[in-house]
Amino acid sequence: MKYYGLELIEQLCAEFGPSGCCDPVREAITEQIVDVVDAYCVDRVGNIVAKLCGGGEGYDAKNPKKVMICTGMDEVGLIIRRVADKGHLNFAPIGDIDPRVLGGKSLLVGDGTRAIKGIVASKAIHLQSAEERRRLTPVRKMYIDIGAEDAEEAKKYVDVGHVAVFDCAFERFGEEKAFMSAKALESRLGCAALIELLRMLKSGRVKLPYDLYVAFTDCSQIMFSAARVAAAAVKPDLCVIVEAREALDYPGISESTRMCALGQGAAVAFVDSSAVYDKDYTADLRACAAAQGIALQAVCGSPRAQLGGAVQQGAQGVRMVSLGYPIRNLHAPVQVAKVSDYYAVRDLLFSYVKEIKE
Amino acid sequence: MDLKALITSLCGLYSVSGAESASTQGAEHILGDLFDEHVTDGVGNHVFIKRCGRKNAPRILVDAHFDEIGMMVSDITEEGFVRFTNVGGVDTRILPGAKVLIYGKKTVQGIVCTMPTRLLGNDPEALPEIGQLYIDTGWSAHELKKMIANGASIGFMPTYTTLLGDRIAGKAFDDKACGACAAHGIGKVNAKDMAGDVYFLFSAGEETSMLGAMTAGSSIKPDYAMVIDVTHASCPETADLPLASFGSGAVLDYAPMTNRALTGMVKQMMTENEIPFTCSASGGSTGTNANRLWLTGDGVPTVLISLPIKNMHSSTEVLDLRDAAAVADVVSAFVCSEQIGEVFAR
Repeated sequence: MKYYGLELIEQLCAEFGPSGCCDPVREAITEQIVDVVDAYCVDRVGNIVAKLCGGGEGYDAKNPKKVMICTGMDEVGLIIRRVADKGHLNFAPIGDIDPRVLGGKSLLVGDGTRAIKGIVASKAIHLQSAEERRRLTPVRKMYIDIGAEDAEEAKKYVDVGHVAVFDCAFERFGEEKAFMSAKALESRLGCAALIELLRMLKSGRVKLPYDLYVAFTDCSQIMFSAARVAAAAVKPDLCVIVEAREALDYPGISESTRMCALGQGAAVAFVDSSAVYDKDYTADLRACAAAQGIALQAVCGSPRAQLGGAVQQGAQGVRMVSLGYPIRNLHAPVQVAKVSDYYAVRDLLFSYVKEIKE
Repeated sequence: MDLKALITSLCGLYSVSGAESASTQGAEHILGDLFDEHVTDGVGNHVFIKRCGRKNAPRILVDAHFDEIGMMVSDITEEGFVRFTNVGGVDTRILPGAKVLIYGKKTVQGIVCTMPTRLLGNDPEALPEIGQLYIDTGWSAHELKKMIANGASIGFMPTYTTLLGDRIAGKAFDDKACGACAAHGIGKVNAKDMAGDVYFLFSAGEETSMLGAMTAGSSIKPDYAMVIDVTHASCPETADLPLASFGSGAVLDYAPMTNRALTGMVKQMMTENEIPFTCSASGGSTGTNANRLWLTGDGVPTVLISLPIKNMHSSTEVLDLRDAAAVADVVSAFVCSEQIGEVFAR
């Protein structure tokens, strides 16, 4: 079944795929792109790398230039560390989750083949000491409750090493339903944009003067992004990093602190905590957005990120541009994005890939 | 409606303390068929009456509180975000990332923002104060103010999750799940088997003032009463506390203000009817309407029954349907007990 636009985002967000346990997401993405790419593979560390061959004017068939577009497909989650005698589960976070967002949240717990429901709990507020109430409840004092009577019942469904993701379905909300909320928007929005980009190139019969590689990578949420391997294999001449940028556009947060804002379009970073982005290519990208009338904002500051650095290290210092999308509540159960920003990113990608010059 | 459906539909109603009247129709729709009369009053109480058909029959009161903890709008920012304060003892630790509904002229959906700690101060171990949190609604302030105003109630999203076995998770089991048990227990008995007219008091304001139990107790003047509220079920880190385990049935509470003779008779009744239960004890306050109800009118002999739940005052309270069924069975037996009627009827 093929999905488009916001429905595609909804379907991708619903898939189970914490870092390192991405099979359902991988299968969903593969199904969406298989008809529109010239070739694809799943590499030895779980990345999907798809290829769209170039052609036409300016294409050097003997020694083609290579452009890679890279995004993450995995989401933050929890990993089960112990099934306690009483049937509850001890866990550790996968990815940069603030423990403050965990309390009371609903989960899907499983191994990627089947999942059961659970919730994150700790002892009730009435049972906390005055000191405990004022302090963050440490992750080691939280547990997952799946309703099991004891360890024996729990182990029929889960075991150490199983993983959990937030159980929070895609929803549109706000004025004119202009916003969307879901788990995993931070990676699946990028995946949706790249899937739709590939379709637009195919249906428009666009022949690019280079071979285009599109990588959907695993482990983008942890410090050891698998994108490094994909970049090392492709050895691109240029790489476009498509990833979430944290929007801190809450009341009372100054423009210099908020990084980027929802509704202001694609979020372009010049530098982040892991990578540097090329000035000239970035200038071309901004000119392209201006010419096309597509909203674009500069990310002020150096956001925390891993994907760009992994690619830049894997491909030996390749030149890169950043084409991000603003997300509120990053790494949280209910992430928020604006519909118009998604279309800005998708459409800017489509315009930009046709204009990339050597 | 089976007990599980009754629990999720009643608990899904919006009844943040102070706004109990907003769901009068909802309560009537769900419970109307089980009772003969539905009376409301100025403080937000809902009294559902089932008549036994005899004149001058004793009045048996079964209380569970209708209100739930929640929040209230305190400010709408120029960016269209909502600031809020608590109504009752909300567990603020579960707020960041929670989905909520704001009840104004229209119901507006929102998400409590998860602002990074570094924006909230320098202490990495601190929790955000409720006044530092914002709700993201996706509306401009101009449009939002047409729908909601300061003082509007905010409740958790009514989402219910079925866990393994007979456990369910969701909001407001405190205390409408107990109300569901009471209504189910009263609904399933034959009216003529009852020891008197049964007044199911779905009371207002327990989380804030216990006012509803006080006023309704005075106006109903019951011969004797059972209060049903939630208690903490045992969970990790509570091994040193005397808490009931899931699946152990109803909890019969001993306290100075509850009637010891009535409590003893209920205990015997549960034993004879093979209803699973455990006993607990409170030294002073029970933290329930039992604190107030016994002192209304010329005094009301009162027994306290509890339903063990986990994560009280959060959006994901958990209960075990086996325990809820036991509580419903206690209510059925209680309202039909001739022995209790003989001792405690005026």
